[in-house]
Order: sequence, then C-alpha cells, then structure tokens
Amino acid sequence: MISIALRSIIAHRSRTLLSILSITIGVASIFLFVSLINGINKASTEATAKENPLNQIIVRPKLDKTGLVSFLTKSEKGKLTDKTIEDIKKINGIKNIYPEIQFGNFASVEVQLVGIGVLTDSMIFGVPYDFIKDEIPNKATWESTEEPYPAILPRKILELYNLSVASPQGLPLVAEKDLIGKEMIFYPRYSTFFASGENSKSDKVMLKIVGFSDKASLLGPTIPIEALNTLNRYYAPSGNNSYTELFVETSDQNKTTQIAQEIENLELSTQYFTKDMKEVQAKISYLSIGLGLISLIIILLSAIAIIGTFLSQIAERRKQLGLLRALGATRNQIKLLIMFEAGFIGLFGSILGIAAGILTSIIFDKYVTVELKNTILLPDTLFSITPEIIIATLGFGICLSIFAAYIPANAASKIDPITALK
Amino acid sequence: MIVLQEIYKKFSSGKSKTDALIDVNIKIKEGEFVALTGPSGSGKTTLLNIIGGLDSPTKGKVLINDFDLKHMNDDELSSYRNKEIGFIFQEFHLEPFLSVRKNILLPTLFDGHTHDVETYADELLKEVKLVKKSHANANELSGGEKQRTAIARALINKPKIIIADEPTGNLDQETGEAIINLLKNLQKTHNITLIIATHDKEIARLAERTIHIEDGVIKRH
Repeated sequence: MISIALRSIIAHRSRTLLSILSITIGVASIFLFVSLINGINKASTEATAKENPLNQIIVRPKLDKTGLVSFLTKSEKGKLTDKTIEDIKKINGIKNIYPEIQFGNFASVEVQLVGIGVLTDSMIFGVPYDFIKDEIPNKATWESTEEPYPAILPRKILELYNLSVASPQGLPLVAEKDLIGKEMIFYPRYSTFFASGENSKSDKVMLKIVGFSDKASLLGPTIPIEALNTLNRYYAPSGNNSYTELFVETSDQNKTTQIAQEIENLELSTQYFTKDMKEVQAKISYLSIGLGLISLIIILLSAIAIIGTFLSQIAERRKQLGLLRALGATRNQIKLLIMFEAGFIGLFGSILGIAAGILTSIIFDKYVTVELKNTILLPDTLFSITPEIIIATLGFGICLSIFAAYIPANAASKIDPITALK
Repeated sequence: MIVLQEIYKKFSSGKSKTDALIDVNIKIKEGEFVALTGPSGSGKTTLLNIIGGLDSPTKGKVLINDFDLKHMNDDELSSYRNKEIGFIFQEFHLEPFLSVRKNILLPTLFDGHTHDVETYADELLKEVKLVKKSHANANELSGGEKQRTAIARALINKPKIIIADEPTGNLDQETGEAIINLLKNLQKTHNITLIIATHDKEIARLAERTIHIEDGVIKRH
C-alpha cells in the first residue's frame, strides 16, 4: 500500500507539488508565528526577570493610602516605615528586606555627556549596599561618606540615551565604561520646571558614577541610603521620612507569589515576577490571537487547496481506484491509500515548510539586527525555535494534510468500479 | 459451481428503465470453460459483473458453491473478488507506473494469502513468458504483453473463477489467439472455471460450452 501511495505521488508530480506547496506555505506560516510568539514570550520573560528576579517582591504603599488625604494629614497610615519592615519580617520565607528612600525635595542633576552639559529635573534614590552588592563588588566604594557620593544608574538609561539622543543627532554612542568615574552635579531644591522661593543652584552636591544596575530606578541616580538620609536632613527636613519602596527577597522563589499575597494582606501593594509576567502575557495573548487568526486563515486556505487538488486528482484517477476496488480493495483500503498519500505529502511539505520557516526567521533576524540595532530591549533573536516547535509543526503539517484529504479520500472510497472501468 | 437463478437486472436513468437481464438461469460447473456470446449491449458484461461481485442483480440469486452473494456485505464482496475471482479486461487496466511484477502482485496487497506470492509471481511470469519484462513498467509493454500481465495478475491469488470480458478485443487476431490459447492452457493447468465474454465466434468455438445472450435473455446454452 505504501509503495502504491509513493509511486502514485511520483506519477502525479504536478498535483503532488501543488499539494506540497500548500502544506509548505501553511506549515511555514504556523512555524514562524509560533516561534515568533515563543521568541517574544522568551524575551519578555528574560526582560521581566532582569528587572524583577524570581525571588524578589517590590513593596509599595497602596495608592489609596498615599493619596491627597494622607498627604494633607501627614498620616503615617499605609506608608512604608520600620514597623512595616518588622511586620513583613514576621512572614515565613523572607530572606532580606532592602528599603529604598527618596530625596524629599525638588532636585536637578547636571552631567557632561560628549561635551554637552545636560541639566534636568531628577529624583534621587537611596539604597543599602547589600541591595546592589552584585554590581559594586567593593563595599568601601558604596560606603563613602564624603563627596563625591557614589551613584549608580539604570542600564536602560544608556539605551534610551543612545536611541533617542545620540542616534538621531549623530552623536557618538555611549557605553557603560565611558561613564564610570564621571561626576554629576546634584542641585538640591532646584527645579528647571517649578520655580519656588528657594529655587537656586547655590547648593551643589557632587555625585560620581560607580556602576550600572537593572535594579536602579529609571527616574534618577541611586546613591547610598546613609548619604541620602544625611542630604534629606539638610535639604528636606520636613519631607516624607518613610521608605518609597521595599525590596523583599524570599528564600524560596517558588513561594514568592504566596508571600506577596501575605504582604498584600498587610494592605500594601506588591510587584513581582509572576504578576508582571501575567500582565506581559495578557498583552502577548492579544498578539497571539491576532497571529493565530492570520494562521487560521492561511491554514484554511492550505486545507482548501489540498482538498481541491486531491479531489481533482481523484477525478483523474477514477480508473485506477476503480481497478483497485475490482481487484479486491475495500472502501477503507482506498481511503487509507489516499490518506497515506496525503501523509507523505504532509511530511514532505512540513519538512520544506519548517526549512522555509527557519530560513525566513534567520533572514528576518539579520534584517532586524541591522535595521533596528538601536531599539531598546531588542532581543538577540525575535524567534525562539525549539525542538518541541519543530516536532509539533511537523506533526501539525502531516495531520493537516491527512485531515484535508479526508473528504477526497471518502469520495474515492465511494467510486463505483463498474462505472470507473467503463 | 456457479448457479444463477431467475436473475433480473434493471438499470434506471431518470424516468427511463432498461432491462439488462431478464430471467437468466445458468449453471457453470467447476473447472468449466464457458464462452458468453452475444452482440454489444446484450448483457454479457452485466452478467459477468454480477458473477464477479462487482454488481448485484435487481432480483434473483447468485450462488457460488451454494452461497448466495446477496448475503455478503461490501467488505466481504471485496474479499470475494480478491480471493475467488480473477478479472481480465478488454482494456487491460494495468497500473502504468508500476512494473510488470508489481502489477501482478497488486491483488495480494488487499487481503491475507496462504501461499508464497513472490515465488508464485515468478512462476506466473514464466507461464506467461514475461520473465525478461518483469521489471519493465506496464506502459512500456505491447498489447499482448499487457494482456499476459493481466492474466498473471488474475491468477496471483489462485482464484477459482476467471472472468474475462472481451480479452482479445484490443489485440490483433494472432495475438488474440495466442492469449486465448494461453488462457485455455492455464485454465486446464490450474483447474479454474473460465468465463469469457466475446463476440468472436472463433474464440467461442474453443470453449467447452457457449451461452448466447440477446437483449438480456439467454437464447441458447
């Protein structure tokens, strides 16, 4: 039976090629869409994990607790204080809690970049050494109590600068190493936007860039918490003394979600990997639905093409199929023969489709790497091709071909041998 | 033994109805060589199709060794055609993209068989004198070679009955005679019931018995 199916495929070359082409297009599109979604998913997971390690929970006050009423009444309720830290520590599975504070007044930062002075309003954050120890191996660097105070910047700020300032204006791109050791001027109580009675650049605090970290806030430089406490005492004595965020490290990453829920029970807001990923995946799911619909249309077109090709092939092969019936083939055997043929066509078409998909993804990746090289967060590859995707697409192509051939196979099995052999 | 009792066959096409066979009663003994004669459209092919299980009568019984074919379902009829019947057609009906040998072995693909079909195919190739052509594709053969391939194919499953519908219709006289002699020899060697539909009187004369049919009615045995 297999031999007849194979020989029949070879004998009807043009029809076979047409069917293979239909499968190839369908499989290639599915392969590309699935590996693209997988690639986006993977890149998003990696990006989210970079900002939010699996065992980290960022704790913030609940929005309704830090609203206007809370501000006007200077209420401590809902704010992150030492008591909050004590309460969180009582939860099982907490490894470390790193508080982050914020400069409590207007602030601006000036930095010289490629010969141009950039002055902008900024926030200043303070974190303990342990929180950023992976980025600053030398503890003494971070614990310096004299100016210039050590400061770290978020990695993303470099990407932003390179993409939105350097590239459009034809300025040289800046690397991390170019900025390490550079000094920045921090003007406390000075705003380039908001004028106030004490708005002047008379006070200066020198900062020195000592490193970059994905944990650092995007809204401004991060300096040692002790240094910022001192600056707050001088320049923002009436400011908010609570913590802006708490970075909670759990001892078991599998329990992060559970611990986060317990923290939320303390009327606090949390952000953690799984929660972020849910949001990211919800967005990706819209993309998946869109691409899925396009794939569905392509698959339907492929299936219709296969049905059409097989139906016309069967009309041409009435004599052959009628003869097989006369010689003793049952209806099911005729059906099986057509399905075998469809299976082989599906196999060849799927192999070609996967090869075409891989080739297209390589070409597309090359194009993207060259054309969009300065895009923020652009992953190394947009497509994530795994053995599972290859096997699943191969199986899908074969099944699609067999499924599409079912109607023609059924028609073939009903051929009357007497009429066919006339 | 093949017994046809009160066989009627009507064909309907729209409102018109044609009586293809009317009250046909025939008995054919095992190992007999019977020629079915009659003009075109007399009902010869319809009768062969009914005996061969390709068609069923509108009325009447077809008994093969006392078993009524109407009790068989489609799969059983397929198996009957495969094991008990060997078909030879006027237009040969070979698979053009298969070799002679593969064409001969074609009926063995559909049902179980108790004999060594590969060895038997070699024997048949010798008997029909096609050993040298066994690997040639069917579309490379002459008319006589094609029909000899079809004869070997009809014999591969060791059937009890060979049904040949105008087997020499597409051959010249010399080749046709050779084919009929080959069939007659094989019928004797393999002890097969051979039923040939023909309008060639010379071929009919070679048969042990002639059944003449006209307008669906048996005129003489």
